[in-house]
Amino acid sequence: MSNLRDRLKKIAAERKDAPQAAPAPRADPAPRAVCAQIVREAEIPPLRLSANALALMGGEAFSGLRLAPEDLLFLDTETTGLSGGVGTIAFEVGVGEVLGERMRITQLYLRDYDEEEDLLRRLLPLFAGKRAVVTFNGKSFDLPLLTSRCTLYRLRAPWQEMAHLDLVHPARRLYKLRLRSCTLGDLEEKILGAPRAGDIPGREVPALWAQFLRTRDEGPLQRVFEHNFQDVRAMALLLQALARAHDEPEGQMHFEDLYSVGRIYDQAGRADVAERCYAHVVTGSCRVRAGQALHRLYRRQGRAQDALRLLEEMAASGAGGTFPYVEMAKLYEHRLHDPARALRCTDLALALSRDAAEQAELLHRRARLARRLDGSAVSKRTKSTRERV
Amino acid sequence: MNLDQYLDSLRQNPAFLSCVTHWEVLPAQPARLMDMPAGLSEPIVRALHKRGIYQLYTHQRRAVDAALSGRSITVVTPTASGKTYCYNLPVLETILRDRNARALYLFPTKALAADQNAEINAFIADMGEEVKAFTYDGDTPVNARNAVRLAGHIVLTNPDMLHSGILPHHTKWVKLFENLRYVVIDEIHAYRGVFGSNLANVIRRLRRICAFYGAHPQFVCCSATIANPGELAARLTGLPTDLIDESGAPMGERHFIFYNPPVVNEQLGIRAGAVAHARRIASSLLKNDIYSITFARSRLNVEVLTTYLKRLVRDQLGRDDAVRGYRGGYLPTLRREIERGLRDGTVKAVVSTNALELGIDIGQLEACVLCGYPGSVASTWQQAGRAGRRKSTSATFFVASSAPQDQYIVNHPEYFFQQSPEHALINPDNLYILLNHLKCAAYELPFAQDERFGENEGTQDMLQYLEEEHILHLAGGKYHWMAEEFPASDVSLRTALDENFLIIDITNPDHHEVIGEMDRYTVPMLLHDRAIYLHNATQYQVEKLDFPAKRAYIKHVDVDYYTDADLSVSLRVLDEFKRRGCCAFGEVLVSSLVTMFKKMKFDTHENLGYGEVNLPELEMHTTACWLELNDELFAGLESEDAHGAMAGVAHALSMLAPLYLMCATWDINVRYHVKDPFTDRPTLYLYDTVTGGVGLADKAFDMMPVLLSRARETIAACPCEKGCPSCVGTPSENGKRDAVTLIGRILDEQFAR
Repeated sequence: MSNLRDRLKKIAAERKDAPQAAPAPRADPAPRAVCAQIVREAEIPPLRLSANALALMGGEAFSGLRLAPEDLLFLDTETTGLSGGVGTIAFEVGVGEVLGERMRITQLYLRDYDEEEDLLRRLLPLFAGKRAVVTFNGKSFDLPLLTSRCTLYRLRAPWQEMAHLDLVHPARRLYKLRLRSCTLGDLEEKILGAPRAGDIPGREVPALWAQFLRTRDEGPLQRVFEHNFQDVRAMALLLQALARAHDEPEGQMHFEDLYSVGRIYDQAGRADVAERCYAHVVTGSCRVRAGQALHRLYRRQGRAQDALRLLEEMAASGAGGTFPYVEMAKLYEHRLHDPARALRCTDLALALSRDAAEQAELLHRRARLARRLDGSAVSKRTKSTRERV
Repeated sequence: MNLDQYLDSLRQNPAFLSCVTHWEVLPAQPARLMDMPAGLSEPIVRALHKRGIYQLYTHQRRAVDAALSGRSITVVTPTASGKTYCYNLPVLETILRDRNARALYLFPTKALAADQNAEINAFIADMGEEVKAFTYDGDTPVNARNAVRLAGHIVLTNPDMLHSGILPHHTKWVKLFENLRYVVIDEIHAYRGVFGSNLANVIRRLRRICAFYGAHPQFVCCSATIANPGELAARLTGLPTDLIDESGAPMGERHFIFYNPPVVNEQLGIRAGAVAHARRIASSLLKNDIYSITFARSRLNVEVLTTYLKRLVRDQLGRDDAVRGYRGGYLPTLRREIERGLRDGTVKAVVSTNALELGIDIGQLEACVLCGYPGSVASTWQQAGRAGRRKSTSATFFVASSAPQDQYIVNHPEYFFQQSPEHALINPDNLYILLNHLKCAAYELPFAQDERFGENEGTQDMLQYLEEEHILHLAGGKYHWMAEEFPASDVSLRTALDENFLIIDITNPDHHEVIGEMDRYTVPMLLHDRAIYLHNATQYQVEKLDFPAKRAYIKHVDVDYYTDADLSVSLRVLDEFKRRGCCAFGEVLVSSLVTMFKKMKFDTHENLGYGEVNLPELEMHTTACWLELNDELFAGLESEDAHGAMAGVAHALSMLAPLYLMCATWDINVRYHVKDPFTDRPTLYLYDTVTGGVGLADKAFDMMPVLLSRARETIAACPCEKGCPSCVGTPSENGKRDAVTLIGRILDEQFAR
């Protein structure tokens, strides 16, 4: 650090010798610097969006909304860094709108920092007439960032009054179980079947921007714009794929996806569809999970016989460990009033159990059932337990 | 017995009196009251009446008047003088008149913020008005943060959160910044040295952001007694403040008793230990039901004293919670519990380190026992200030240890009473610190080309430097942040390393429990293998210290001894950057090592044996400047060897250097080796205690001739006879003369060229 001191002393000395440049007059502010713009079009298959799919994907904000593809604005930014603070800016913003079977993608970008205000002022009118904005991870990153930049220039952010569909959430709900990683690139490759070749990874973008600032060579930036262009286009395709998957839940090709879409319908209160989806998961790694979810559904609806049948199937195929036996014990004890069978299931569960806490609970149940069986001659109606089947 | 009777009984006790070197009585002070200001809003008056307050103390009234008329103020009054009203009243009044108004409160710790948050919310409830006050810090749950940002009238936080959590995200805080009317900084005396210099720059960034949003808040600063509160406030805030430093709060009669334990071995001149005698005094206070606090110098001593005092109150059921120990390293929940117990009177005696010095409200106790000298006049008054009641008598007992500084003070009480408290010094323009914060500021808002950061003339040069390093980019007349990273996360405001070890109780094999934590530097001393570790006066033995994993595993034991480890610190030069004659500047490695421990029996404090400790050395890289002397310089000096003279010079330098380097005494360290392993000669070192150095030793290198001649002047002019803590440290026959001669020779020979 001592060389910093020396350098500063040297610079100060030089400045003393150099003729003092008069500071630029501040009375007339310099004319606002203008940003640059690229407009291109991309081919996309026709987008069909049902109210059903939108509501399932976007939640409350979208229920009851009828949206045509032309009502949407797709948005993706390229930024100077990944931290969420005030020092990170979006040096390029790509927005896409659907025009029939084409998508018009407008990319606004900066050649330097003083063009930012102009970029924002050109960006905001593009939202006019749109009713929803679509992003990928925009909820936690892109939109808060742009809102922050607007605040600095005292501009109103129009997306704050619009519905927002951040595709990363429905994508994860549907595909995370199977794919584990749901970046846009992973989804393009595995769901859309169209991996990109030669694309730059997102984490390299800030460095390319820094390089451009130093060299003033827009060449490397073109790769960023291409990346962004493909991102915006991919969002439209992903939206279509997700919408179709949500509209045709039983058409999933993988058991994990079937289970996942079942859960989505289940949480949206659409038990009929959920039931069918779960029931289709007959083998594979989510078999047990689907069984458990289906069992919960039967319980909620009070369908004891269906629950019993399901549990018996699970037990018979050796799936779920102690789960089917424990649940059957509960069913027999509380819904079907058959303590003998309940006791038998409890014993079967005990034989299988490896968990100390579970064993303790089962022993407790066993003792209770044994008491009931012994005291059944002296029949006293047991008080209803807290457990419900 | 009440305290008055107890003091009377002491005055008639010849054994006690024979150890007393001085008994000072500070007379009682009546309250000085003024009427409430005329225009104060009705809800506030109502809430004050509910608390039995119908008039304000003079300093409160002056503070409220000044603040409401738009002035920034610094309030200097002791604890329990109602200083909280000095800021809460004007802030709440302003908010009641204008619901858009906002205030930001800064406290040095989260605990203090939590305390004050509870207080102000209780007052707001009494007002019956809708004013929202929230804490915003690392403990605030994520889903609550948005609510605080949007709706909080008063936001309570700490410097670290302001620095990395609020300022770099200021667009999320628009409502706060646009309407910010007050910034309250409590306990400003805590912001000295490097920490204070960092805070001053955080405040510069804060004011810059406020100006961007069109706000120019007033500052209300509160300080304990230091020599220069107004100056400190001005340097921290960048604004002049009105000083309000005469307390109108009443104070009962205060006794200061200086106590020197008796000599127990005439031939060897050995005195009884301070711990044993502090124990006696604290025990007798406790037996008489007099509520007290005892301050000990080390965590170990806190635990030992707590153990002794608990025995006195243990009932048949083994409960002994009327006595508590208190220190850092206890879990926050335990500390809150102890604080509550002090406030509601269930805790009758507490033994603490200086962790309880900072303003946490623990009510007011009647007596305070200082086991050893706290190290500075300001700290002594602060600790003594914990005993001090409005209407009745209080007493402070200073029990001297055998350390030379303690002995000097107990025998020269006038030194203590005439000494003004220390200056709190900061240097906001320290280049290292300034540059770090300039980066943060540029990240927050681009810099214009004629802009200065906090009046600093070098701003433009530094911005150009940052531009050359590709951290900033000049466009449209402004320097914009260009780099990828987030600068605030690389800047730490505090110098202490935050690498704490967890202390895990494994007595119950089924249930391991984390009972506390400890900083990395103290761990080898207190948590080495086989150490007896005292925590909350319970005995544990360390089964295993897992250094790499930063965990210590302890088990409950019940033994009649405790352990005390030896710490040795050594210094090694790694690289030399600059040299001028015998003075050099470069990088050094400071290592601290614990090699053995003693077993000490409780009560008798006899040594029962030793044990070895096998732990890695703890190392810190930092910068230092050093003086390489030669043996001829010591020729003809009257002390037996170079020790005396060097010790004197080292002590004088350690007292003076902070004044010239504008830092706190703990930001640097001065050591000497009579025969240094690296230079092979008598060598004196001055190094930064902050890892990597913050330019203090560098500045000392530049200023060495000045520092040395000032040291010589100070020693020569000191009115003491043979040496005192203000000059050479330890009194001795020839200490002063030799030190003066030595410095003279160094200056002549080495710097005259």
